Amino acid sequence: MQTIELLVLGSAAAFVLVGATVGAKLLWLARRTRALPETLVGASLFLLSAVAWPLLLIVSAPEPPPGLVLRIGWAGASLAMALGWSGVFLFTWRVFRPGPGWGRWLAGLGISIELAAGLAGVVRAALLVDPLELRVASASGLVLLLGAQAVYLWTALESFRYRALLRRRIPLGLADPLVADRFGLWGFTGVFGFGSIAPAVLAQLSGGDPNSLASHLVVAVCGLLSSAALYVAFLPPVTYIRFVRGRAPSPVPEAAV
Amino acid sequence: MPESAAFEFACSQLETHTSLERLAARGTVRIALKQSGLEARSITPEQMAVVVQRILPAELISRGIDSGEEICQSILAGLRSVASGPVSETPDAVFRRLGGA
Repeated sequence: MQTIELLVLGSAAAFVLVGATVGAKLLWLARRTRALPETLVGASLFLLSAVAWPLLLIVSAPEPPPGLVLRIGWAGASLAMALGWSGVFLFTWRVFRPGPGWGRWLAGLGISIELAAGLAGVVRAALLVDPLELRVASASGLVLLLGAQAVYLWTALESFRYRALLRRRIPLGLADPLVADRFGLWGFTGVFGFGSIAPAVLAQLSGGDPNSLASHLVVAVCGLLSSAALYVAFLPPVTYIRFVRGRAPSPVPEAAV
Repeated sequence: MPESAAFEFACSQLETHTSLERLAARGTVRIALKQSGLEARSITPEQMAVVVQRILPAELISRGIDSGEEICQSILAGLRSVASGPVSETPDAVFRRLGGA
């Protein structure tokens, strides 16, 4: 196996491990708080990393699995991706743009597109005469990935905007530097998530090779960075917490009302 | 989305105690909020108190209002009676919980 393929595999394994761990942690938190945001983001991360990615690794292995495994695996991955990215749309709307307005419309549109593309993937898996054709890029797969890129971009923009707000509050003692940093890390998770999908989308739009060396390198690096950002955001080591809080400007005491 | 009670209170007080007209008063408070990274629709009385103490006096002075400090003290005193009202959960509250911080 070439070095670059090992890097891609390592990146996928890191995403599966980190995403599943963080997803499980947030679902555990949701069990206690009964709050919607942690339920949404926890379930989305778990579906994408612990269900969709392992299934995708199986169905796209160099040696194709048996037809039935290919059909079930592809259908499961399509559904898990559609539900996972729909959850991220819902989370971003609910947390950053709650209530009526363009955020609700964007989330509604994104979820509709993702669910339709996911269901189309399930139908393809069930109806295609030759299951090996599932390994060939399709229009529904492209739509699914474009929807994912849209939500990663939206999430990143909202997160960076909010981080900028919180950074201005820190000297006034109105924000925790660690929480501000977490918004930045969540934004970078979106940026690198966008980047890890970009080669597949570009290849399909341009007719290029999604398995080129450059594509694999981008996928591997973005996947690793995305996993690292996700890990530090939601499972920050004590040394990292000290570092972030230590370099922040000292807050002034809050005014009493 | 309507603005918060704390924002409306600070604006009305500024309009009452200065020569600023409604739009100018609201604009002044908005600029102070922007400098503080806060939003008019979600700011609480506690957060507004910090803005009134730390940011607003300089903004008033820059607009030629000499009694800025006194006006700010008056707004601060009045903020105690402003109820927070039903405010939807802010993004920072959600992210604080998600990270366990």
